[in-house]
Formats: sequence, structure tokens, C-alpha cells
Amino acid sequence: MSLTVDLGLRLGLLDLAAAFELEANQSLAIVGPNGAGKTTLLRALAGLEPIASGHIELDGQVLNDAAAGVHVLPEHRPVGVVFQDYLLFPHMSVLDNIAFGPRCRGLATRAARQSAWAWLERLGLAAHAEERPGRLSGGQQQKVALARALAGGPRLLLLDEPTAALDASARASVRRELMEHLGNFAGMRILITHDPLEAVTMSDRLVVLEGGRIVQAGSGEEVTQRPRSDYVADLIGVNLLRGLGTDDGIVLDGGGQLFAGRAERGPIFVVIHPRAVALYRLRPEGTPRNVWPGRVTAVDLHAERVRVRVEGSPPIVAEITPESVRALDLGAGGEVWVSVKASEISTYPR
Amino acid sequence: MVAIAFFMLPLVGLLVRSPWPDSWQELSDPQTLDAVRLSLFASLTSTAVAIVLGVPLAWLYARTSFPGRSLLRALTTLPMVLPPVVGGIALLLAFGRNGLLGAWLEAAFGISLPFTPAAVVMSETFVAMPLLVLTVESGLRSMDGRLEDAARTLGASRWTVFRRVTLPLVAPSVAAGAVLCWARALGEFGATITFAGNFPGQTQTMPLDIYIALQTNPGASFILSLAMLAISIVVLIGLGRRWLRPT
Repeated sequence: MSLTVDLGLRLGLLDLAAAFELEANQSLAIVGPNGAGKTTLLRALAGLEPIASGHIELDGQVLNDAAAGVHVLPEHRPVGVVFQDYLLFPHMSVLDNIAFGPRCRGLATRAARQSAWAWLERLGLAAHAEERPGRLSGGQQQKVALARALAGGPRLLLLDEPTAALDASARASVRRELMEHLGNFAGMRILITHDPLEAVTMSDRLVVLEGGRIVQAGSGEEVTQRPRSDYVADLIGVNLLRGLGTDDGIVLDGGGQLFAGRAERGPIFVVIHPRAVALYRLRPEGTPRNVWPGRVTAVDLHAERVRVRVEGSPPIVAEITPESVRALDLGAGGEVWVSVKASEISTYPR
Repeated sequence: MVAIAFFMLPLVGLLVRSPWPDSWQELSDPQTLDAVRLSLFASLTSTAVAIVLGVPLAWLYARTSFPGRSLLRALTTLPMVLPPVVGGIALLLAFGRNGLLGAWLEAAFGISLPFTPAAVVMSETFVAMPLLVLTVESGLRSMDGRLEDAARTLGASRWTVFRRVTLPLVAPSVAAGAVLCWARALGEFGATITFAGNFPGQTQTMPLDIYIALQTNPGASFILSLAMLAISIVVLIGLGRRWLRPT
């Protein structure tokens, strides 16, 4: 039981080239900005998009082989899809939506409806069986979409931003229920998401897709500890800089110099947590070696902390308390001094 | 006001000047009954033909892309803007005794289409089908095509998708298109008289009968016009429920 993917395709402006593998029972999250090719990759796996090169193999069955001209039609793939806005059939009852897959896969109408009933009871939606899906709440629709995708007994389940269409208050509880129901599913899962929390909690491995390329792959911990793209750095909220480790400190690609407690030589990534960044109105006296001037360009309130963006060399985001913002009168913007302790800077090779 | 009066006055004229006392007699005239029967038969048949042929064509236009698609689409909607008489002549040149296909049909099977009820159906279909195709095509375009993708991933073949997802979802458009198509077919005059002629009981539809009656027995033509007006109003009301209501 495994999935091997190595594909290339062009669609409009997108030039997608991605390769990864998935073991039995494993789950993979694909994260990346809009337009990175996540949904296109998903559609290619489902057979809805032809691939120009490479191959897709599921449990030893070739689904795509561009060189040999093999393209297994979507209806013949053991692949279930939960679409972003669910795409439930508006003209069928909830029950018939779920029974659609089993019926198409050859089950008699009666048997298909019975299995759909079993799904609805498991999901606690039996009372809504005869309703049109449009009358259900977003969370309920999502459950129906999941049941519909699983009712056909797929070996690979694809979920395209399963909680994106829900409002923030419903998201956490729906995600928890989704995990519960996915727990019974024995096949492989691929999840597309914008939400780093979702990516880390709902999958074993992470793939970061940017501009049609996989820029990073690994466990959730690896990816979040050592981000290799601005997108991931932004997602988890750290400063990511690129530079060259030398005997005289780190020379940053975008200009500026930093000193880390312990830094590799050669091309490196530099990660600085915003909480480790201190701001002053006057040049600070004393020990810190990493001190540089800058200009405040944005001040955003995040829960109990304030994120302050400072344009300088290098540019950086600081996270400080609202009290400090008041004391420094940062609301008005202006010139500041930035300071980071050498011990708070971590580096790893590029 | 002028526009309203312009539309309303002719209708009022039709109502006021019709010889109401004679109406029953005129309507039960055998020739009139034949025309009514033929009109209903031909317009309904051509609507059925338009649905069977037009819905797949609309699907082709809305869901696929191939070289020359827009040109083909323009050519097949041409009958909508073409003067119907020209359409009739074109049909004659294609299916007439000496026509492109007509000559061969006659030689091979002894089938002669012009001046038969079949020619009436063909004329009406030719002129009215584009209305249905365009209506269904726009219905297909406004439908979320990803619903069809979803059905494919659930194991449905293209045909099953069309039958169980696409068709039910565009059914309102098909119905609206069919009504428009039927109304157009019912009123068809130019192509019919050119390609099918004007033989009472054979190819004389209501509009032809009205036109002939106007020259010999104006009263009868008024009554027949009223009958067609009534049919049009019924269609409008039927459509209006969902379509013609201002939003």
C-alpha cells in the first residue's frame, strides 16, 4: 500500500512539477500560497487533470504514465475527494448524495441507500436524510461531503481545504469531528490547507508547495522548526533571512550583518523569533552586538501581543507588549533601533 | 406611454374588431381545424426534435473546446437572425428535389421532402432550435462544472454524469428553451411557406391559414389570430413564473 507521485504539467501560468511518496495509512498535508498549484496537484491525482510528464502509481496500479500514454479515468480510480466548497449535488437529498458513489460503483439502489443510511447514522445526520444539502449548516455539509467521498471505499482520500469554507468559530469543532471520522479510514490521506495548525495536527508529513515546486518536505516539526520558504515563515510567524556564514558573522543577502552564537559557514537560513526582537527609540547602550536602525512601517495587534514591522537592513518583525508600544509611542511610527541577542539567532544550511 | 400604446393598441384592436358571434363557426371550420391540428403537431414535434438534437449540441458548445467551435456555433445560431424566407430557400436547396441531399434522397429512397408535413417540421426546427440551444448553453455555462468533476470522482461515467447531474441541474433551462422554441415554431411562417408550401390539410399551419384567410375572409383571420394570441398568453404566463418576472 503506497502512493508514488512524480508528475509535471502546465496549466495556464502554472508550471507544476512535484514528486513525493506516501506509505500505507500515512497522511500528508500540502501547504502553500494561493496559485502554488495545490488544487491542480489534487485534481491530477483524482484524474481530473491530465499530466504532461511523469507517473502516478497507487498500490502498484498505474494511474498515470505520461510516457506510455496511460490515463486512468477519474471514475475508475480508487480515489475519494472532499472538495473545497463540498460540491454536494443540490438537486439530490443528503441520502442520495451519499448513495451516489456506491450506486455508480455498481451497488443496487437499495443497498446503496442502506449504506448511505449507515453513514448518516454514524455522523448523527439521520434526521436530515431527506433534506436538500443546501438546508444544512456548513459543518453538516462538510460531514456529508466526507461521507460521500468515503462511501465508495477509496484507498486514497483527498481533502481540499476542508475547513476553509467555515467561519472561524465552527472550524475547531469541525476539525475535531473530521479527525474522529478520519480515524476509521484505513487508506492514505492527502490534505490541502492554508492553516498551519490544521497541517500539523491532521497529518504525519508536510509538503510545502510554492510556484509549482516543492520547496520543503518533512514532518510538521521539521518544517516549522526550520522553515525554508518565506511562506512557511510567515505562516508560523518567524523572521526568515538568507545569508552567508563567515568568520566575521553572517553577511545577509539583502544587506546588513548579524552575529549568532553559533553559525554554520556558507549559505544559510537565519531564523529570528519576533519575541526575541527588542525595539528602542534611542540607540541602546551595553552588550548586544546586533543593533541596527530602522523605520516602523506597520503595527498590528495580535491577541495580547503587538507585531511591529520595521524597515531596515535587515527588515524585521518584532513582537512586543502593548505597554511597550505605548511607552515608545510606536503608534506614530518613526525611527527606532532594533536589537537582537546573538543567542536568539538560529541558523541552518541552505 | 407611446411605447405602451404602441404595443397595446393592436391587441385592443384585435379584441374589439373580431366578429365574436361567428367565432365558434369559424373555429370549427374543417380547414381551420386541420391547420390547428397540423400546427400543434408540427410545433410539438419540432420542439421534441430540437430537445433531442439541441441539448447535446449545447453541451458540446458549453463543455468542450475544439478548433472552429465559435465559427460552428455562429453558423448554427444563424437561423435565428436569418430572414425565415431565406432559411426556407436554403432548406429547399439542400433538401428539395434538386437539392444537395434531396436529389440523392429521391434517387436512392424515393423520398421527397418538400411540400410535406415533414417539411413543416423541418422548417420550424431549423428556425426555432437555435433558441433552445442558446438557452440550454447559457444554463450549462452558469452551472458549476465542478459538480460534474465531483460526480466523476464518485465513479460516474460521462453518460451517468450527464443523466444524473448535468441534465437535472439544467432542466429549468431546457424547459425554458423548449417553450421559447415551441412558441417560435408555432408562429413560423416564412420558412414554412417557402419549403413546405401551403396545402390545406398537408402543410397549411395556423399562421399560413390566417394569412390566406385575411385575403378572403378577414373575420376568420381575426378569430384565428385571437386563438394564437391566447396561446401566446398562456406561454407567457407559464414562463413568467420563473423567467420574465423583473428582478
